[in-house]
Amino acid sequence: MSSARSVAYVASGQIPPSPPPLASTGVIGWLRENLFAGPLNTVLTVVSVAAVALFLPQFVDWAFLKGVWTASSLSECREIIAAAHGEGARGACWAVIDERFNQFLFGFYPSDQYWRPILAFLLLGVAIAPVLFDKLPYRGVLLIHSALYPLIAVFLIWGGSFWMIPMVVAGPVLGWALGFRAGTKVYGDGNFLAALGVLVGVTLLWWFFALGPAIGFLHGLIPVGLEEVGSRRLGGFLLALIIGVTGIAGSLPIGIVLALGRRSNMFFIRTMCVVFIEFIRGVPLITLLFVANVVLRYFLPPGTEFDLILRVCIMVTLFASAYMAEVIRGGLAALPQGQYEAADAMGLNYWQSMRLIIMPQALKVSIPGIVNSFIGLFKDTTLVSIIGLLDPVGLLNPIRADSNWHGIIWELYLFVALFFFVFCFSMSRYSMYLERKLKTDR
Amino acid sequence: MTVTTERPGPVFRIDMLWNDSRYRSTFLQIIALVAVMLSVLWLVNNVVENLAALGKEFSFGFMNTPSSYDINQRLIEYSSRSTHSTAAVVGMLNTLLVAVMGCILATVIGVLAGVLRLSKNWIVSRLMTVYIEGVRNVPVLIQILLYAAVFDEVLPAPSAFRGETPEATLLLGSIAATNRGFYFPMPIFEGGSFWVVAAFVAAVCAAVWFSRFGTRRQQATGEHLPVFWINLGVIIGVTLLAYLVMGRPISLEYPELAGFNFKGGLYARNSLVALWLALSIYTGAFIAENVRAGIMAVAKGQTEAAYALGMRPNWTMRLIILPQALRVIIPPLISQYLNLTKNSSLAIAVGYMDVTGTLGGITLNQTGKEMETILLLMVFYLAISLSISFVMNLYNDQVKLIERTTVTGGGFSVLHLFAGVSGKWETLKRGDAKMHDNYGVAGWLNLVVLLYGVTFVLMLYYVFIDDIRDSYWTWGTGHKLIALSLMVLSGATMVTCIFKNARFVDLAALELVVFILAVLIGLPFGEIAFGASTVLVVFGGLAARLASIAYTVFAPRPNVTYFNRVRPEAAS
Repeated sequence: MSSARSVAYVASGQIPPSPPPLASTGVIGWLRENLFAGPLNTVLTVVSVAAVALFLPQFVDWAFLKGVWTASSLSECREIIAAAHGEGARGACWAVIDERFNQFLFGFYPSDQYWRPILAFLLLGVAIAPVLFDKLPYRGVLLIHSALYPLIAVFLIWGGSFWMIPMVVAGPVLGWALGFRAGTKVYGDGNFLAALGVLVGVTLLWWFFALGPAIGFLHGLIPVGLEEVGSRRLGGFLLALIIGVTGIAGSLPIGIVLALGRRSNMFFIRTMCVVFIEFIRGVPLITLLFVANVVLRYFLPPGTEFDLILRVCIMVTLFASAYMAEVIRGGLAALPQGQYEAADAMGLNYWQSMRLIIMPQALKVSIPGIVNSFIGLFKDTTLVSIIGLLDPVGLLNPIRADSNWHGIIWELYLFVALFFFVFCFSMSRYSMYLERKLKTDR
Repeated sequence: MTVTTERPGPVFRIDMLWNDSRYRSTFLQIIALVAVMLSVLWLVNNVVENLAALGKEFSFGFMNTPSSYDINQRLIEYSSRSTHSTAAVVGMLNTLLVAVMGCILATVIGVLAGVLRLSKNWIVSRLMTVYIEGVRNVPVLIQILLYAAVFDEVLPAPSAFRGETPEATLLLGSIAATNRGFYFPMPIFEGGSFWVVAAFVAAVCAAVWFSRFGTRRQQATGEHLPVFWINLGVIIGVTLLAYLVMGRPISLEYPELAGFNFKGGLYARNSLVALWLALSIYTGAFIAENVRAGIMAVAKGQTEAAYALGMRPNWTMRLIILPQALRVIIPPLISQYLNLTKNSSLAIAVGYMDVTGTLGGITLNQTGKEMETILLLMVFYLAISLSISFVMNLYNDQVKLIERTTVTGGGFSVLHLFAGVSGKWETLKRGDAKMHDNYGVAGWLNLVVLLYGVTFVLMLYYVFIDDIRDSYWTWGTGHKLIALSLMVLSGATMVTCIFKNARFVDLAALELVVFILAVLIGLPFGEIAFGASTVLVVFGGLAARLASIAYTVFAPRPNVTYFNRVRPEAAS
C-alpha cells in the first residue's frame, strides 16, 4: 500500500537530462577551456595576444604596406617611403632582392646560359618523381632517367663534351658485360662476388685510364657539347641545391652500407665502420670543409687538381652518411630479433634477408630520422660560405658591402631564410605524410 | 652394380674462399684490411711527397713560437707575445664558454617551449609551434649572422647614452647594449668574500645532506619533512648572515660611460652575444621537441593513476611524469648539447675567437701548417664529443630498465680477481627489483671522487694552461704520453665513480699503473701540485689511490653501495 509511488518527494520517472550550462558549450565554453582555464592560463593568453597584436601589425606594415619593390639603392628606397608615408616611416626595401634575384638564383652563371640550370632543375623534378611516388606511369623508363640524372645534371651545369655521358656509362656496362655476361662461363653461375669484383675493377680501370682519351677521341670526331662554365661562376641557390641534392642522394646508400657494416659480425669491417662514423660525428662540418679546402691536396698525388665544389660535395656526403648510418642503425636495432631469425629460417642468405625482410622494415621505422638528417644536411650547405663559396649566405656580405645597399639587413636575411624554410618545412611535411602512409600496424 | 658414394675429400679450391661460408668472412676481411693498408700507404706517401715538394715538414714546433696576433675576448692571460699553443687554449676556453652558456640557455628555452607547446591553451601552443617550426627549418648560420648584423647596425653607439636626455638607456638599469658590445654588471670580490663563498658552499653541502636525510627518514617512517623550504632558508640565511657579518664584501660594478666608450663591468662582444643567443634559440627549438616527445611518451594511464591516488597536478608532474619522461629526454638532450658545441665553430663567421677562429683560423693562415692545425682542431672536438658520449653511456647504463635478467658486465674486470676474497659480484641496476631498498651513498666515496677530480684538474692545468714556463710541445714523447694518459684516466675514473659504474675499479687500477709510471719517469709532481713537496704528493697520492681501490673492493657496505653492485647475500 504505502509504496514509493505514494511518497511525494520520490521521483516517479526518469528526469530528462538538462542541457550543459551555457558557459561550457559553444564559443564561450571553448574560450573558457582553451584560453582562460585558470589564472595562469589567462595571464599566458593575455601576454600572447598582446605580443601578437604588438608585433604582427608592425611587421605587416613594414614588410607589405610600406615595402618598396623597385628601386636602385637603399637611399632611393628611403626617399620613396618618405614620400609615400611621410618622414620617419620605416618600410622594407625588397628592391634589393629584385635587383639581385638572378645572382641569388644562379650566382655568376653566364646569363645567356640560364636555361641550362633551369632545365637541370626541371629534370631533377622528373628524376625525383618516380622515386617518391610508386604509381606513376612509365616508372621503369623514368627510373633509368633518374639513374642517369647525375651525369645529365653535370653535363648541363658545367657543360663540356656531350660524350662524357655515354663514356662514363660505358665503364660499368663494360664491367657488367665482362663480369656477369661473359664471366659466368668462366667463374660458374654462383660466383656473384667474383663477377662483382670484375665489374668494379673494369669500371675503375675504364674511368681512370680510358675515359679521358675516349671522350677526346669521340669529341674530335663529332663535336657535340655545351659551353664550359667554371665552378667559380656557380653560386646562389643553384649551388646550395647542387650540394644538398648530391649529399642527399649519396648519403643514403653509403649510410645503409655503414649501418650494416657497424652491425656486422666481421670484426675488422665493424671496427672500420665504427671509427669512421664516430670520427665524422665527433667533428664539426666546418673542420671537414677546411680539410676539403686546404688539406685534401696533400693527400692526393702531386699535381692533381680537382674542383673545389666536387671536393665539398664529397665531404658533405661523407658527413651526412655518418649521421644517416646512425639513423638507420637505430631502425635496425628497433626490429625484433624474431625478424632476423625468421629470415634465417626461410633459408635466405644475408643479402636476400636484408633486401627482402630487414631493410624495408628498418627504413620505414627510420623515415623521420632520415628526413631529419636530409633537412640538417640541406641547412648545413650554408656552411660552404665560410670557405668562400658563393652560396646564398656567401652572397650576403658582398651585397651588404655594396655602397648602394649598405645598411640593409632584415630583407636579405629574411629572404634567404624563407628559401631554406620552404624547402626544409616541405621536406618535414612530406616525411609526416610518408609516415602516415606506411603505418601498417593500425 | 655397386653404387659408390664418393665423399668429396678435403680438397681446397680457390673459389671456396668466397663461396664457402667457413672462409668467406676471413677472406673478405683480409681483402678489406689489405685495401685499407694500401690506401693509407698511398695517402701517407702522397703527403710525404707533397710536403717535400713544398719544402715543409710535419711538426708541431710552431706551437711554441709567438703568435703575434691579438684576441679580443679571452678568459686567461694572453698577449700577442704568447705562443700559438696559448692562443689555441684561449680559443678552446672561448668555445667551452659559449657552449656552456648556450647549453644552459637552450635548456631553459627548450623546456619552456616544449611544455608550453603541450599546453591546453590554444594560442600559446600555436605560438610555440610557430617558434619551433620557424627556427628549426632555417640554417643556424643565417640566424647567427642576422643577430650579429642587427647588433652591429641597430644597437645605439655608446655616445647615445650620454647627456641629460640620452637617446638610449641601460637595459634593466644595468646592462649597456651598444654596437660595440654588451656590458654587464660584474661582481667585485673584496677581502673577506672568501668566507661568504665558503658559507654558501657549506650551506649547499648541508642542504644536500639534509635532503638525503629527509628521503631516508621518509622511507623509514613515512613522515614527510618540508625539505625544500628548510633548505632554501638555510642556504639563503647562512649566506646572507656571512655576507652581513663580513661587512658586505661582494658588490656589483656597473658599466659606466667614460670617454667614448663604457668602462667597467663584464664586457662581451656582439659576436659572442649573437652567437650565444642564436645557438640557444636554435637548439632550444630542438630541445623543445625532445621535451614534448618525452612527456608524450609517458603513458596517460600514469597520470590517471596518480590522480586516482589523489595527487595534485604539480605533484603528479614532479613525482610521476618527469622522472619517467627524463629517461626519454636526456639522451637526445645530450646529443643536442653536442650539436650546439659543434655548431659553436660557426663563430668564425662572426669573428668570435673560438678555437676554430684561433687555431683553425689565424694560426693556420700565419704558419701555413694546415695539416697540423686542422688535426689538432679535430682532436679537440673529438675529445669533447667522445667524453660526452662516455658520460652518456654511463648514464644510460644507470637508467636503462633491466627487464629479464641481471647480467654481469662483459669482459674482464679487476673485480674478478677479488671474487674469491670478497665474494661473488653481480651487477645490479636501478629498476632492478633487488635495488628497491638501496638508497643514499657511502659517504667516503665522495673523497674518492675528490681524489680523482683533483688529479684531473691539476693535470688539465699542467698540460694545457701552465705552458708559459714549460710548454707541452717541448716535452719528450714519453712525458707527453704519460701526462696525457694520466689526465684522461683520472678524468674517466672520476666520472665513472660519480655514475656509480663498477668499471671504476678497472679504470682506477689502470690509473694507478700510469701514476707509478709517471713517478718513475719523473713527472714534476711537486710543481704540478702548485709547489707542494714532491715526496708528499707522490706517496700521499699512491696511498690514497691504493686506499680508494681497496675501499671500493673490500669495504663493508651494508646494503648501501655507491656502485650499483651488491653482494647477493647482502641484497637478499
